[in-house]
Amino acid sequence: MVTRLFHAAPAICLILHICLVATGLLTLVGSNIAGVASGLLITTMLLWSLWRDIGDPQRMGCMQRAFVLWASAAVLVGVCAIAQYYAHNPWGGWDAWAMWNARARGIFLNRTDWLWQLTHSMPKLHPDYPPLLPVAIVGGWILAGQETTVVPFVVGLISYCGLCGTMYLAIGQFSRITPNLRAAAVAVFAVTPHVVSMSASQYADVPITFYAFFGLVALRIGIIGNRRIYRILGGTAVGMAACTKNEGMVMAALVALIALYWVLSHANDRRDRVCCLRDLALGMAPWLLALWAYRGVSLVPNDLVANQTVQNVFRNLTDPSRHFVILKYLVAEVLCPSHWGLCGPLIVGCVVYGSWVHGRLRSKAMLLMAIGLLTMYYIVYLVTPYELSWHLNTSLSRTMLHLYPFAYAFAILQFARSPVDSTVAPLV
Amino acid sequence: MEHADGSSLSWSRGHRCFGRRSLLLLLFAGVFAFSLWYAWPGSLEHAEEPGIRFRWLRPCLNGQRVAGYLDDATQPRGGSAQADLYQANYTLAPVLIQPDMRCELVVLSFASDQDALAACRRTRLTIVSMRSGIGLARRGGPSEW
Repeated sequence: MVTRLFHAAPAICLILHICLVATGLLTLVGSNIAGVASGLLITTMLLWSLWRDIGDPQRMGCMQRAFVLWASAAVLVGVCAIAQYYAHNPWGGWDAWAMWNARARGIFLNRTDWLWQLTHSMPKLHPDYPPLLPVAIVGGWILAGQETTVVPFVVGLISYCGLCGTMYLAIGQFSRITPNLRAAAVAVFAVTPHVVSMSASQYADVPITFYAFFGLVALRIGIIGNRRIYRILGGTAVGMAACTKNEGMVMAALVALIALYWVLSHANDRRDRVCCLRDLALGMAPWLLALWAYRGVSLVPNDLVANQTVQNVFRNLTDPSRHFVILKYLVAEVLCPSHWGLCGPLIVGCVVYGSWVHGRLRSKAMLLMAIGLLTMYYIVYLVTPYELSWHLNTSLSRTMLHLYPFAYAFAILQFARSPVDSTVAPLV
Repeated sequence: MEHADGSSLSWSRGHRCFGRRSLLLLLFAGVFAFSLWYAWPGSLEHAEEPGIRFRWLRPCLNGQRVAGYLDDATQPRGGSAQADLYQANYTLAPVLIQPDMRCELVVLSFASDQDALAACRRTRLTIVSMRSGIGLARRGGPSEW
């Protein structure tokens, strides 16, 4: 039952997110009852499809059961830490109350003119960011019938649980790895201090990481394992990542490119390829359309590209001192024990070990995601119009969180017993 | 030495139970314990100002009164650069606060009275009343300050 829950958790968490967003969005564009009913109907349908798709659990040995319990206990510790933080800081961290929850409140209290409210808020509230998370919070408030701090807290909690479940799924699905090591790896991931604290802070960085990570894993299961519901959910997760923050669009593009490669290399015939691409588009299209519509309404440019000149960008790119500062901050961040525990050195050690033992690195999709995101953020910091050390101080730990699950899963997968990257294990 | 199922290598002869995989799991247990030290409930970094408690305030939309929150003017990232009209919008109010709007501003601040008042003036709002988290309670317009 516990392993089945671990397998189903990420998809269930994503479906709950979809329910909140659908309820919020449909209520804002229609009536309250229609919005709530549609949101609940979509959730029920998706949950039913998912539950039918997951097989019966296999029997486990005593040792294996103990390791799974260890992973479960670790997730429980994380949940308790988030709840304890909430009890002391119900409004979350700075960005939560100053940006995400503020925008949600703006929509909720001014529902007749919510779009104007979103697109014309002050620059500090980032009107250039797509409003998926605020709309999800509004959906929660509509379902709860009142404006309560419990909803942003629950959104953070769901994202945390989804992230841990996705890690369990990813390590098992991407390669053959011993069940005990898989559970131990999930236990370590679940208590990574920064993953827990960011979830507790109600920041958008945990949901966006969850969407992108789950999108990649679900699309692999869907395309290579030929499971339609996962293809649709994977596409949905990727679309939701694009609609959460600006960097989500790069994440979505990277995952979509990898998925396209899987479709071209693993689908049996033309009909299979068309099926995969259709399901992917079915999941992504509504979100991308909504994003396109929002971009049409919101004319506020991104703060990183506004007022930039080509000369300025070129000067920053070729300034060696900026490279040095960024690298210094990166090393300090990876080694920061209060953010990552010992997981930074662990990841480096695993990768060195894997390449030394096997002679080649495994799971190139995870590697591509981690390297792709790292490169993007490196360039962003190089050309940022803000004061560099201020920008690094205020955002580096959060941007590292975006690529952390990919880097961590990639490191753990170096312990796989065989380079079986072209098959998918059954979902039991 | 590799086991029959290819799953484990012994660390040394006669110690088959303490194989490479056991070492690996021991390493994970160590990393887990280290992370647990930081992630244990109650150990997470709390808000910058532990004493400050925000309240979500329901504003009146008639333009007469907007209740809100003004950040502590003494915070490093507050101060003159931010404790202005932007800060007034951290009130979580659903309307843009306009410079000529009359409002009641609720200040939850651990700054001194003078700092709090200076921050309020920087909002360029016509403040008709103000309450402060440090026990400051004044009524009336800015002329009385």
